[in-house]
Amino acid sequence: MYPKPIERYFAPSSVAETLALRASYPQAVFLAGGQSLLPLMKARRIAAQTLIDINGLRELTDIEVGTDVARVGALVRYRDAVEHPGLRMQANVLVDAALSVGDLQVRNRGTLVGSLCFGDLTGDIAPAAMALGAHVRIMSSTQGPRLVPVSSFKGEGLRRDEIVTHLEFRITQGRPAGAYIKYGRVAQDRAIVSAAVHLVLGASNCIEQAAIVIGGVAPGPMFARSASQELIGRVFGTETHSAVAAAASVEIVTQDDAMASAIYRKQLIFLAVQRALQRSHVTRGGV
Amino acid sequence: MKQDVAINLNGEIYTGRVELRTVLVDFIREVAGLTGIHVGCGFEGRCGSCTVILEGVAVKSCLMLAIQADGAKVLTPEGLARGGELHPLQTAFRDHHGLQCGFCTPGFLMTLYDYVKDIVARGEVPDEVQIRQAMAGVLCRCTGYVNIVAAVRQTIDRLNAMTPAERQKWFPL
Ligand SMILES: Cc1cc2nc3c(=O)[nH]c(=O)nc-3n(C[C@H](O)[C@H](O)[C@H](O)COP(=O)(O)OP(=O)(O)OC[C@H]3O[C@@H](n4cnc5c(N)ncnc54)[C@H](O)[C@@H]3O)c2cc1C
Ligand code: FES
Ligand code: FES
Repeated sequence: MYPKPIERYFAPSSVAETLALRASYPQAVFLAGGQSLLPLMKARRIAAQTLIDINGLRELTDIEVGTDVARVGALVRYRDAVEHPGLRMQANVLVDAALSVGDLQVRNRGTLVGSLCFGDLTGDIAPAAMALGAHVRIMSSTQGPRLVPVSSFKGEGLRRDEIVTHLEFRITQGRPAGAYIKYGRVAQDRAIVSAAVHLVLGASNCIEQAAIVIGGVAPGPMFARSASQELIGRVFGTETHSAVAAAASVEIVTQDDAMASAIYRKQLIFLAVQRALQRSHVTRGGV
Repeated sequence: MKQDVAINLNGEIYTGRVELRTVLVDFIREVAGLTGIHVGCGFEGRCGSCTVILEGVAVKSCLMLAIQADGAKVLTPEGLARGGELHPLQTAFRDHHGLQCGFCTPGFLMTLYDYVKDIVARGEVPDEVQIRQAMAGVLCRCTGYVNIVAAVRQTIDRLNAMTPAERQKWFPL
């Protein structure tokens, strides 16, 4: 199938220019990696009469890992994230999630921020970003930048004069550990269930902070709060993975749909959380 | 709306005045007449048969507009052989019978071009699971992938045995 006719195509080279264009064409659609947009345009579920291609915004292609905050620009592709050692050190959960997206070609084009803006239920980036307590940074042509937690951000909630410029999260004192595990119908498929785990370790490897987020469930990724609570205060390496996984499986409400039954999802939550905790150890070299 | 588009395909510039909605794969096949890559899906971008190398990395050319590649360098299967000699990937697919009907083959060649270039540059030797994961974006409904994995192994071995300069010749993009 073929997209509906496109009347105007712009390829701005700065955020300022992009916002000005957006102000002149309020109905315009942003095109980032196109890995969600192009299929929808071809299926004619989205008509983009005016397209603003943001791939030329060089100012948004960087990953900055500073001392207290890390920022991932809106044009950072999954592959850039996967290949960034500093990001892996601070946020293994996010790098794991990026690596689990689709396939090599999709990871070469698709962006982490595009995934959040698209807001798909089965997206892999939102659960990982939520586990990190991340925010999206939004710029507008009329107001100053604002930060919205990924947990409450919905792509549709953007105002007509806004663009997301970054995904960002605080770097906390202590040593981070984490992982992302997903189950699809086949390997590298969309998630039926996924688990994102992010931990912060303090003195003597004591778990000071823990966040577990479950993806693939409706109406969107959910925090498994009592499961995370089980981890706090334990020494990393001595926590009981199965008890934590069982708590997550009990507290998260699951749905029946064409992909899987609610009860099957519960079982997958158990396995995904267990494996994500195990993998958090492996990626930290078993500290 | 129509617009002029000029794309460097395998070292040659092709130009055309196309609708803005023209996807890259159609520019390559229908305007430039390079039918090496194929189209295997309707809109979902799953089969990978349309994969090309755009500025050094593998992308599905059905998930981009032609206008987005205006001024870019693109490599298609037609550009893999050098001076009448087949690319090590092509030789390996022939040696191991890595194809049956051949519909998917261009997608594998272009995806694996990106993969083996990267793997050899890092000096890694992947296992079978890693190779299969790297090819997740191309579907083959004939071979069962076994011979394709063998072809990838041979390619990596042959590339590792080359000097950096020899290797460079096979990766113009
Ligand atoms: C074959 C295939 C397999 C896939 N598998 C997976 C998978 O396993 N897991 C997964 O999570 N995803 C998967 N995806 C989707 C992929 O992750 C997309 O890359 C992602 O959903 C969208 O990112 P993008 O950069 O391609 O955005 P686009 O498709 O360009 O844009 C998506 C939407 O976000 C808007 N947008 C983009 N950037 C901004 C911005 N900076 N500010 C405001 N709005 C913006 C666009 O206007 C559009 O509405 C798959 C896609 C394909 C084709
Ligand atoms: S034609 Fe199937 S992925 Fe492009
Ligand atoms: S050889 Fe027929 S689809 Fe792969």
